[in-house]
Amino acid sequence: MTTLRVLTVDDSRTILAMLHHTLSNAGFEVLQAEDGKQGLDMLKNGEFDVIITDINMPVMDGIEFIRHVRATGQHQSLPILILTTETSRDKRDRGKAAGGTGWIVKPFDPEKLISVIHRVVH
Amino acid sequence: MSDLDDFKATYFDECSELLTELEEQFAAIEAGERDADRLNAVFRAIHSIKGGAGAFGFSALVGFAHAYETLLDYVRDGRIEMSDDVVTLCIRANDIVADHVKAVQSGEALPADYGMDEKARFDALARGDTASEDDEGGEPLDDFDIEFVPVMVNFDAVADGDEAPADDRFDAPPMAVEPGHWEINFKPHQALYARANDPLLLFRELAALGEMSVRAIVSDIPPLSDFEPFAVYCSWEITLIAPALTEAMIREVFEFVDGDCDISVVQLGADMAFDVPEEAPAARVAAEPGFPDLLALADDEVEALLDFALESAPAAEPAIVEEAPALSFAALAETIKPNAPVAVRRAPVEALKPASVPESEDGERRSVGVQSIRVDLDKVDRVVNMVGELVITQSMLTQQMDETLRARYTELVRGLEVLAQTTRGLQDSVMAIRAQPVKSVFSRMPRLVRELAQKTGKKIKLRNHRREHRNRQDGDRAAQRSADPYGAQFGRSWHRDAGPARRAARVKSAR
Repeated sequence: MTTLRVLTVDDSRTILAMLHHTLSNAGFEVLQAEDGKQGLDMLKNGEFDVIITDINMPVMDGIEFIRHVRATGQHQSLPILILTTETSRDKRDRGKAAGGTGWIVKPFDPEKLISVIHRVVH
Repeated sequence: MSDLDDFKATYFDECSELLTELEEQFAAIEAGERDADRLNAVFRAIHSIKGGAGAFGFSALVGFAHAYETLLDYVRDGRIEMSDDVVTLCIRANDIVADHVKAVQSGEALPADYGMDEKARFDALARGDTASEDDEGGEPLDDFDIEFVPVMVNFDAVADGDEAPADDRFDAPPMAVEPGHWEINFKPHQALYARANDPLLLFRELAALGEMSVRAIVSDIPPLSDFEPFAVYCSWEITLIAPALTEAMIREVFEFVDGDCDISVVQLGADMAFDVPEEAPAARVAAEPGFPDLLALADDEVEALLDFALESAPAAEPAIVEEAPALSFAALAETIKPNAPVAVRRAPVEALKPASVPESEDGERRSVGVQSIRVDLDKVDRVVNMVGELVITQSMLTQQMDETLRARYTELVRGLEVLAQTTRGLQDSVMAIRAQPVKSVFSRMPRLVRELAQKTGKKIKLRNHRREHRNRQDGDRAAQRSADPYGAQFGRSWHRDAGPARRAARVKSAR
């Protein structure tokens, strides 16, 4: 079975570390970016099965990042999960309108996180 | 140290940096620099502190940070003006956040009402400007789910003239329903596919809930001449049976596609719930002349049908064909088989990978973004001490070399010279690693001066010259400790430690 590659994009080192720990233990290969721009650079140089991104980030926020990813033809079917503490419908809808596939609300439960990834990945 | 302790250590380090950044940002904001970038940076800092706190269950910190974050969100949206009063409140809020962080780090409990006054002021500010127009800012997601009212529309049943039309079920309260028997009508919109959601994955989730049968409604598929590759022509009727199944469980599967599809979830009546799974699909599809039921076809028949469709279609880019929703028929036919692999979309991903990229290069690429590591100070200090011992030993060896030995052992002398040079280089490198940015030390000074001014009732202006040195890494552990914000220590450390050419600062009393 192929190892799933996950790109995690968050400006919080704590969240990145927790995601890395959780996903690595679940058998995923995890790569990290600290903002949307860095995420786009990594996307140019590698193939991923799913992206998990924060919304509020410096340099390039999550909404803009998702728009750029979707604008790239080859990534139109790449699942993007929005990882955020925002629980308002407004923020969630903005992420979704930009092309987000689903969302995970922080703080995330490890089992729930894995289950959500499997919901959107073949 | 457990994983959780590691995460907490990372979190507290991050908090320290974010609180320092808040100090810097608010020093500038107080000086009148209130642009969007600065306000966004402040918002993100509190947002990150709150996010991490939530992960560790620091509820008091989360509660206060959430209220503060909401205020900052309103400020950056322009709903609340960043007046001097609000700036003062925010600076006070930063202190409270810092106290909360310190409390959870040390394990000490703060009073239950700590920060409640400020929190109440946040709420009052938010209510004052926004209560009438927007109540959704902090609403939990669940509150919105009540907007959706399921409506069952089954035109097929009406057209067929069945004795019990499907839409009559809602008007027949005496009819008993059978718990655990559900019928789902699902029609995706184009947006569902555009966001990388896939009906096949939804069916996989549903199949995990109970016994499922799926019927594809393909009657809307036009002739190939009118076929639009990105249009959505297919919908599905799904029957799901499981004893403890609830509507909420089914709707959770469709959570991400809410709004991107038409969906109805209806619990079947007892008199019509049985016989659905195996026999009904074939019987119903027979009533749709002209369209074969893909589910009823053998594998080779499905493949032949798809081959025909592909051959008949105009030439198209492989990637585009892959994205076309119509191809999901084939995948659907695959997924309804128990334990069948779902690989329809994986293959092109592999195909898109540049063939010329060697594995070693791939490995190198994966290191992008990892530009620093975090190491415990104790470990670094051990290396510093060992290098110090090495320098002393090297010096002693050099001193042992008198003229006689130098003349006699020239190669040894050269070796010692190389050792001395290498040791100096190693010492410089290690000290550079150990050095800490002094930014965090001096970024607290504006705030210290401000508080002194408030306490003494004087106007004080702090001028920090040579700002280009603010990130200079020439501090050490003593410098970190000198950041202790006490006025006397500040005065001494500022004037004693800072050379006039390197950090000239002047505290000037206007009165």
